[in-house]
Amino acid sequence: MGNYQAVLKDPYITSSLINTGIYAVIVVPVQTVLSMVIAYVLARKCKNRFGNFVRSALFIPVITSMVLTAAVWRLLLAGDPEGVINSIIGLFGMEPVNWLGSSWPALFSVCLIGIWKNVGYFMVIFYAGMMDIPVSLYEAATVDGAGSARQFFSVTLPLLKPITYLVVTLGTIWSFQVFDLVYTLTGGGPGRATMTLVLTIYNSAFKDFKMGYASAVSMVLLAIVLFISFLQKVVFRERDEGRRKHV
Amino acid sequence: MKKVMKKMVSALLCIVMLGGMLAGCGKSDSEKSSEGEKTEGASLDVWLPPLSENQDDKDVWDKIIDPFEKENNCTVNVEIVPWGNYEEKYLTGITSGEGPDVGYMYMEMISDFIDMGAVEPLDDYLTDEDKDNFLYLSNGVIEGKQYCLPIIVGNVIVMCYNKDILAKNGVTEVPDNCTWDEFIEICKKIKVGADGSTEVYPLVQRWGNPSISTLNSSFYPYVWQGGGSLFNEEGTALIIDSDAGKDAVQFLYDLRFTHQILPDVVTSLTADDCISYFCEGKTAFVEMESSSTVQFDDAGINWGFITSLTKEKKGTFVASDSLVLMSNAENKELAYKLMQFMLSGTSMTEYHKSAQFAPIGKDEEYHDNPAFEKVYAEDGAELHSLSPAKGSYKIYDSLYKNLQLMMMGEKQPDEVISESVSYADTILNE
Repeated sequence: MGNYQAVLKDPYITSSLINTGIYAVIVVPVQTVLSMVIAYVLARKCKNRFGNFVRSALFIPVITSMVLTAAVWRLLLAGDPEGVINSIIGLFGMEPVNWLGSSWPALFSVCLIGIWKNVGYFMVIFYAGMMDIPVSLYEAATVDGAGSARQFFSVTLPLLKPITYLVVTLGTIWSFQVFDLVYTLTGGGPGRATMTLVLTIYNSAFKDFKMGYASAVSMVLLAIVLFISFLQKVVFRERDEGRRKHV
Repeated sequence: MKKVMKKMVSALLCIVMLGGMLAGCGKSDSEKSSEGEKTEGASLDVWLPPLSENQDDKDVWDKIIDPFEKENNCTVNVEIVPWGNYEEKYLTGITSGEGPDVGYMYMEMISDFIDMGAVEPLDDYLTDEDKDNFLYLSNGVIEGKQYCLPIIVGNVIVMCYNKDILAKNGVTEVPDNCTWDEFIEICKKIKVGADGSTEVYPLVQRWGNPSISTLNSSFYPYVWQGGGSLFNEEGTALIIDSDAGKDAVQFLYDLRFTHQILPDVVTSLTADDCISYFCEGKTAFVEMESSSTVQFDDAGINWGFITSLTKEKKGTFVASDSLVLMSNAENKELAYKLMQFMLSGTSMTEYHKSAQFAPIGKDEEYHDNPAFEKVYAEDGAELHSLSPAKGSYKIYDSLYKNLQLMMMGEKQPDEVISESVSYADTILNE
């Protein structure tokens, strides 16, 4: 019980929780929408060799080692004016940003890399879901005069609901489990700007040898993830039932 | 036809995989021969980190230890543990009963393992010869007991400077006892690079490092230079709220904000970045481990160094890592004998051919980089290593994060000190 009381009193746990929450709030919607849009374009507009190439290229970050990823992104995000990304934004007249050396840019950078890493995986899942949608539905929609946008919102999106639920749930769980990216890229810094719950658990267990405390934080993490997953299930089910009643 | 081909290829792949799996189950020739010779003798496990310049630590140690194995009819298994998960490997190994007989630990980690009862005191094993020979035995005394025998004392952090940049900016020399004020005045003169045109930073530090090792180069030395220490003598309180501690924090704050000697970008720089900046002639000064300065020579930089800046006195960080005898070692006498053998002048002379460090005993000559011999000879008393303290990782981590926030302009020096000290009190009183 003492460990749980210590967790509640620890100010650093609160900041880790807030950072993890911000990471999830930014990453999950962006990667879900982005992967869905890319999958739609590839499934409906680019069913050719170029589409295959793009699909493979987008999957490369998924299978790339995180240590390597962090090393490369550290170079790209160098804070001096000669850094790759700073050079690019400099072309548009923008001031160089100290990406990994300031609080908000560091958290933003971690989110950006997280999205870059996950989009390919979720795109493949969406793509597989879209390939299962019968072409006849799109043909019927075309006959009824529906344009591309209308077809996406009235045919694709409703039929992808189970896939979307899976992607959102997996994305949320992964976001709360984010560890290797911050461990290798920032170590939770600068300050505590990118400290996440799992990194706190790791440090408590393997750097500070407080196994009981680390277990207590892990249980808190489990409770949060379970609660969010339950909430997502309820929201998706309610919408589904609402539609059935309407029909 | 296609189907038959597919089946044949699949079958072939299966056979290749099966062969690979079976080969993996077999033993290598060296294992077979060593088992044949030494199954009757004892077996000792030693875990060491990679330190050799050619990444061939295992080969080097196997060669060094070979005579010991023959003399004592035993097998010594040397395992090189990567730095990445070093403490994690020890913790999981020891708690699962699969740990080594002889370990290698650094000061930040040793207290917690002593607290766990995993490390054996060596007072009963130490001989008079050992006491006479080893130079840094006192570094291994913790809570009044000799828990470790220093194996690596070196890799001192020095203040390096680019002579060409200084000359171009009208600085003819950096005094050996350069005070903080003199250093600030020199830094203020640095405006252009060695070619006279490029912009250059006076000093860079590694505040973007993911690990707390930045404190070794950019904070602790300034506390020691002010005549202070990090913990009290009992190791029960963090005392950076002393005058020396306050001055050190204020000095860093002034370098960054009052005099703007440290640029904004320091909050994102790692140790490697600092090396690159110095090698590319983008900074006049850098605090650097002696082992890394070989890269300055490779880059053709005309560089020099002073041991440290001076306030009340000089003071800088020197690594002090030790061999420890683990409590779960079955044959402690033999394990200690191995430690003696590994630390003997003959073994260390051989080892220091591939990993350059200063000698740790009187029975070895100096084999480290000759450029740093005078540091150990003349400034030996000003070289400090960390004093072990319970829960020190969390305390240092909190201090590091608070200092990072100060360097980003999000905390004032007094906030850094009060928050770090109060957090340390919480940890030390648990």
